[in-house]
Amino acid sequence: MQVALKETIDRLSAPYRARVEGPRTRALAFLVAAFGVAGLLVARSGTGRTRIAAVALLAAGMAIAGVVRWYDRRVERSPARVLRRLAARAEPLLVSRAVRALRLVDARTDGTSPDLASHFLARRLGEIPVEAAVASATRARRILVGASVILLAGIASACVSGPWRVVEGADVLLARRGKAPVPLAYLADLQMSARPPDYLHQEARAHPVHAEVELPVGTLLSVRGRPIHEGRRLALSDGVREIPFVDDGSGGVVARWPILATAELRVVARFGDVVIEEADPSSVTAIPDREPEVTLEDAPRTVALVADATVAEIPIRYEAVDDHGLREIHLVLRSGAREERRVLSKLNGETQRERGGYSLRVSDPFIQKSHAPVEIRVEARDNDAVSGPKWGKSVAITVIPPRVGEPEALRMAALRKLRDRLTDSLAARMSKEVPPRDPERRTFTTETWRGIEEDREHLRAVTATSYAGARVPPRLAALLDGQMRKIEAAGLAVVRAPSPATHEGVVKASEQMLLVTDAALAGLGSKDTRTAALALSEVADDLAAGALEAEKAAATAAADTRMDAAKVVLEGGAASMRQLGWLGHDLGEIVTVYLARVGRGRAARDFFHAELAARDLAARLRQPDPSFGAKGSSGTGRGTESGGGSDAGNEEPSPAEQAFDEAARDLERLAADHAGQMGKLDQALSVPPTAEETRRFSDEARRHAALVREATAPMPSVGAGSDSWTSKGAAAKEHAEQMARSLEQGSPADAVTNGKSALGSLDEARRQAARDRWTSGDAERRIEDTRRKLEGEVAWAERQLADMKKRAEERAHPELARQAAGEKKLADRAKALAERKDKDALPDRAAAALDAAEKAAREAARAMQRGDGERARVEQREAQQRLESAREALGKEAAEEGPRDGDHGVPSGHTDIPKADAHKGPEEFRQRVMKGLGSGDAGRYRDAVRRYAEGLLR
Amino acid sequence: MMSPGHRFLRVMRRAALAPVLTIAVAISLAPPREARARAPGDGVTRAAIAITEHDYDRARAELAGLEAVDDEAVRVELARLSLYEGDCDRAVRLLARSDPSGLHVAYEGSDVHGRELLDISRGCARVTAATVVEKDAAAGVEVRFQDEDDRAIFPLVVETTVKARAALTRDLGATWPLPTRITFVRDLLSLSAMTGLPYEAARTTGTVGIAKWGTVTILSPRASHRGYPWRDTLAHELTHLAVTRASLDRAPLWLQEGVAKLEETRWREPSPFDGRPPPDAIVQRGVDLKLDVPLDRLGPSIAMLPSADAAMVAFAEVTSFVRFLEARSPEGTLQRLLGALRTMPVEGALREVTKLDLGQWDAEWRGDLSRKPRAVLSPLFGLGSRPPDARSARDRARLAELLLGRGHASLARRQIDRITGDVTQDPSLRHLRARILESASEEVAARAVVRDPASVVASSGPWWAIRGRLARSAGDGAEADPSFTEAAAHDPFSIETSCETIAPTGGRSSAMCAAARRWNLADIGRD
Repeated sequence: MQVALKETIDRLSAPYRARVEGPRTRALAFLVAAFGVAGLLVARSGTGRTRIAAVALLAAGMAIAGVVRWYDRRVERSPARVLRRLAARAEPLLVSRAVRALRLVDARTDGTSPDLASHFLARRLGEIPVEAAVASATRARRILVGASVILLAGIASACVSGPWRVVEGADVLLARRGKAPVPLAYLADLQMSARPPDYLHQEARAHPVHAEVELPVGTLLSVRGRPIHEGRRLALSDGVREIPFVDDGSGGVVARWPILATAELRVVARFGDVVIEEADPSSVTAIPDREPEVTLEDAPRTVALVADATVAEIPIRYEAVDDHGLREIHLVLRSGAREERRVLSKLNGETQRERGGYSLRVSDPFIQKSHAPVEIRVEARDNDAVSGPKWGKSVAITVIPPRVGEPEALRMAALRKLRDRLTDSLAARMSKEVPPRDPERRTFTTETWRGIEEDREHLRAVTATSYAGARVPPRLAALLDGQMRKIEAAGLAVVRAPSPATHEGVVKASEQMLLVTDAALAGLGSKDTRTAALALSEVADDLAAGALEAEKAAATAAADTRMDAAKVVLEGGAASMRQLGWLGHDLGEIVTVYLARVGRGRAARDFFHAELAARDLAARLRQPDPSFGAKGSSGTGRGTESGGGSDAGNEEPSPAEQAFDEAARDLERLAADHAGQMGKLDQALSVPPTAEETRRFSDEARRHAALVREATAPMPSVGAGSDSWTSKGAAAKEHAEQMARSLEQGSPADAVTNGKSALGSLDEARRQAARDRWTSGDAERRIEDTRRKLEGEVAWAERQLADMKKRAEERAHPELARQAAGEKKLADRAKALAERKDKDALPDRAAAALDAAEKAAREAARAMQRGDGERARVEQREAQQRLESAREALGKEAAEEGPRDGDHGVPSGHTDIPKADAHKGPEEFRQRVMKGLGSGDAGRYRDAVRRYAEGLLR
Repeated sequence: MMSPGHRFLRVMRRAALAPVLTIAVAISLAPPREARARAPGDGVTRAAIAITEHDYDRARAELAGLEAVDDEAVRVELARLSLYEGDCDRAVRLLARSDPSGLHVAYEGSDVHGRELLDISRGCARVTAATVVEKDAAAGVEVRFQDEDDRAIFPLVVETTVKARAALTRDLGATWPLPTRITFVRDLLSLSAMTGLPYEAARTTGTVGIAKWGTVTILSPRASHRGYPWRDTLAHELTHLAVTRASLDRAPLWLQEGVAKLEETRWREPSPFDGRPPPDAIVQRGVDLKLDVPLDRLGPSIAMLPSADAAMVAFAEVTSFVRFLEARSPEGTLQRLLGALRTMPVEGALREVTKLDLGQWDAEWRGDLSRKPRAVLSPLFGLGSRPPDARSARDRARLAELLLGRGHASLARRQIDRITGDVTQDPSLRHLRARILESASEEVAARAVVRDPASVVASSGPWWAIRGRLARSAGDGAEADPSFTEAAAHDPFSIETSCETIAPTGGRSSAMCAAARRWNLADIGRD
């Protein structure tokens, strides 16, 4: 029965399957394709959402096809559904009956016999005509074919209108990490050109596309092309950065890529979050602008100024090289937190190699003020305008300057050795007695003299040596030299006549020398300590500033470095000071103690108190007095609260030292007084001529001025070159013009000076003309003629000058006579001073100079007495020169360094510069300066020089 | 309708409430607490007095209610309290808030201005920054050392302080708020900054200690080349603290210094150098030289006098006068006088306690002085005289030192032997001579040179040190021990004193010896 039923239904459905199966499959395929194309077009937008939507669409198409297939199979498994699909529209009644009959067969719940039900079903199925099924199939086929046509049309339309879009959509859809898997070409006719940065001064160049190129950083790379597909957002990309292509105005597009780093550049099309790259990249290697390379000759090295006292300067020879160009080169000095830059060279930015040199003296202020190691480097700056100028640095030459007070400590050690030697010499002399007879006596005298010579040699070595730049002060050297001469004189007496008395003379002189050396040592130590302390006070200030910096910035490394540097300098200074006697020991210990306080604060990160402690140290060092001492006591007793005595150690100068200082001060005063006396003479001799003399001279002078101009008229006004006779001739004419003006202004002295200059120029012109005889024509004759005329005028001016001087001397005679007494007194003072030679142990050179000064001053006084002002002036100058020589021999310490403690009579502290109306001395000085500066052979600048002098002294 | 009984009750109820209401109105009308404190007046004065009396708890209590008030007088007193308690940083913070130029300390006896107080506070903060403090809680002593190596003398400081306080309590009835604060500074500049004494004045008179701001500020013995009698100085300054507290800082300078001079040696056993040179002799010489100053015209401080000689004479004057006053008055006069000064001026107090005024006392004292035989004062004390050949003696001594330093002891002796006369009483010369003799292996002669204190004019650390050393090497501990004690009281950081040797190494093992070794001053003739 079942088989019959199946055959019946197959018979009915066969026409349907034959007509519908194929169209339906095609329609489903087109449906899936349509969904796919739609999805790809949506995916092309490139955003995450659209790509999800695209996938959804693709899935939806597939799903629909699947559902349809599933439904078909379901229909085919149910005879009732098959019947309904085949004939329900054409024969609904018959189909309905047949379906009921099917239920009777399937259910049989009402007790109906199966055979009867099957029979009934067969009858009902038979009632359904095959034509009805054919009609239904035909209708379905039509519908399916129509749908397929529509879908195909849509797909074709999408693909034909933008087939590349579908491809891009697929590429975009498959993108991973923003990059599509399949590269596509977007630009045709690609071109690439590079324009280096302006500062390189290079031309733009074309480069092959898709090749490897090397270009300087800062180059602007231009990539041009013609778009293959319109409407794409094209860009040039290195995978990180994108520069969009823009219309180049000629149908193409261009992107300009500044090269900052090495990159692989590709053309990309951007679709939302996804790019589709072109297949071939352009590899661009960026060539960075390297920092300049600086080499410093003999670097790195260390120069220890203390160890090598012979170093006076440090040669700095450098070479700077840059790949593109140098802008400037500096010498950089660094010490601790201090830095100083000095420009060695400024360049145009195109020079790629520069060599140079510089001589840095060890006396340079920066080195002198530095007590921490000084790093010397040469640094060169390039011209990089893209990433900014870069400094290239050489390796350093490190200068280790002496610690504060170290040279002085070395000097002190040498003087101590001298003192020890003198002590031993004294002991040797004290322990010996003059033997009563030869040969012991001869041996004694020989040994005595040898000992004195050795002392002298030792003294000479000590005073001649430089101690890391410090020397024994000239005044002290002169003082010790004088004392040594006293020993030598006593020694000579022993050699001549050995006796207990002469030997005692040597012992006394040796004692005196030892005491003088000892007192000088103490005084010098004290003075050096004060100097070192003041220098260290600035370092302590720096330490305090570092602590303050640390306090504000919560202990930055820079502040720590600054404090460490200051600490090192202070520790070194303290060590040096401790070797400078009692005051030095006292202050050196204080520095150590206060540094411990600062260190305590730093260790506890208590920078506030560290700063206060450093400020305390600075304040203390600015008052480099002994820690304790009373100034107003005359005895040794001490009360409880009053010390009652100075505690400054043995600083008081010895009597010999005091006498020597007194003599030096007397000499200073004598030289100053004599200079004043010279000013008085100048003033006396500059008595103006009478009105009648002036009128007479002026009339004559005007006529001679005209003659001077007339005489030099044949000379050229402008020279044809520095080595031509015309140049010399023009100079002669200029001098002659000055002479003429001087005559008109009533100044014969200036006229003579200028006239002689003119004659000199004419002589040079004549020699030059003789050498150029073939080209200079009759120049020699003209020059000779001019010279002859001018010589006469100069002689006339000289006569006038001599007459005027003579008349001035006659008028000044009474005043000169008065001044002669003053000059004589000064000569007496010089004599008295020279006579103190033995008593005060003045150096021979000083005594000899004083003798000569006395003689010259007496001669000047005699000349004044007889009214010979010019002679008096010459002698006075000689005397002054001798006095200055005597000062040199004594050493100019008093004037240069100020008085030491215990000095008297020389005011200390602030000294006002006397004003113009203060008193006569300064006024005389002014006049001398004015005369000196304003009356020289300054040619055309004479007036300007005079005004300058006036300005200086106003 | 209210019954009479009810009406009575109501009246009575109102009457009972009346006082309560009155008080409530009074409270509401009274200025708020802060407003009341705007006129601190008496509170500030009471606080100022309490500070002067070193009663810091009471001062704090007085000022506690006023701290919230932005009153400059309160600020000054708070700053002063901080200064007295050693908190200089806080004093600076309080005073630097605004310009303190116009401020005065409230207490009538004070002459301190706000600007001065600020300067002193700043100086104090600077000097004491990052310094070390040693405390002995049991003894009630707190010592700040600017130089941490000075800590070696802390036990001596404590001992001196305790003994001096006991002596002052015994003699003057002084009481002591604890701890007693002492600051050892390294130099005169720090002393000046801490106390307000002008630096130049400190240098001129050679001031070594100041008692001010409730603290003794004293110079480290190492500040002086050969030390100074720092333990007596400490006792002297503690006396000032006691007198200031007892008299409410109203004691005149002559009384302050006179009492301090008396008490500076009473804390210890008498020394052979006490009373030398005799104050009376110095006064007599000072009168001759016209260096004497009337007692009531000594100025603000002896340290402000124009020279050390003037200060020496002034000290002698007040010492002699107060000693005279004490000798002529019943026991306890000084204590009663200090007490009287709390409530009345000096003239009144003197008359109240002794029945005589200052003029009468001065006349009696001067009369007594003139009747005394003129004591011979060694020219070594200066005061217008100078030993003959002093310059020559100095040169000889120096030559001897240099020769000794180079190992020529016998020749050094020849030099020192040529020094004769008064100058040989100079203890430093005796010390040198003993050193020379010792180097020449003449220990017996050396000991004889320093044995008799009467042979020198004044006490000196090196003199005591070599005396002790020579006694020790002779096995005479009875002489050696007190000698070293005296030496340490002058010059504790000398190796000879603290290590009891002059050898570069070895000697006693003590903190003081270690500190002296670190100090490492050059020996004679090697400086």
